[in-house]
Amino acid sequence: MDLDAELVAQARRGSAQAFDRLVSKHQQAVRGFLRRVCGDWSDADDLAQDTFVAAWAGLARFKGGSSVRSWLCAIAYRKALSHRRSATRSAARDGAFAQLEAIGSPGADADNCLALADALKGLPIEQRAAVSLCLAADFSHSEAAQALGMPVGTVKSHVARGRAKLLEALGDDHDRS
Amino acid sequence: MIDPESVEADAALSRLWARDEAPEVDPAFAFGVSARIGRRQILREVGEVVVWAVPAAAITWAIWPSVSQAVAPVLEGAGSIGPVLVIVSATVFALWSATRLFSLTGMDFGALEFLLPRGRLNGPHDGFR
Repeated sequence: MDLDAELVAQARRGSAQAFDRLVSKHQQAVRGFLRRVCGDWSDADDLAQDTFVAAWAGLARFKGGSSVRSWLCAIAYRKALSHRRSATRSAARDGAFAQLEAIGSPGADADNCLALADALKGLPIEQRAAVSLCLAADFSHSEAAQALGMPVGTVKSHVARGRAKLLEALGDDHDRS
Repeated sequence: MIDPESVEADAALSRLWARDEAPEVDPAFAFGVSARIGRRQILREVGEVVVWAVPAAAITWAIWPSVSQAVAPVLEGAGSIGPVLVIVSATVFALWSATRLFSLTGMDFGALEFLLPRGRLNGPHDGFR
């Protein structure tokens, strides 16, 4: 039995320490995924906490058919989808401005990063999620398909199109500067 | 336009991903999760108590006239011990509530450990932190 499965089994039996370890082990992946999908860091971290609370409540439903990381990202993706329905466009824009300041000093590198971040935000949420999992978090296409509830072929095409759009945005930015 | 297969493209994307990376270790985040779970547990437990407390109160209210007649002679005899029992019960309940609350917020309370309810996320040596 791998470490994650063992931790899930212990958490199911009531071990808070085991669940704590699961949180510590996977928080980076879940938060990174949600930050890329939502665009707004504080919303993303809030959703990530909700994700772990939902995982804790649903421990009994985890059958072990997928990895814990995929299962958590699947919960996170559902949270992101329902959050997107309720979020307003202006709130997302406010968050983007706050992050522009957080990136730090201006320059060509920061400009590239901003252009890419904007391009990422411009992708449809399914594409953003697929790109975030497969390119940023090293998920395999089938793992991402499980997490996002999509066929593998759809994930592959989302990743290819998303990557092309991101690089196109980066190229446009290069051409302007 | 940038060549999608170029090293520059990969480097640019890597910088984008690194920008959104959360810290590898973040106790504040883990504590936030624990606090939310704690709040949820408290709400669930309050809900469970309400489920039986409300019918119990209604039944007590309904049968109180006949019960009070039956226990009146006993209560007269136990007049001096009644207040002591009330104080002891209230103290035990207050201690139990306090330790329960502290356990959910991760506080250590040593000798009072035995008062904690077991099961769910409170294993034998495993308060929810």
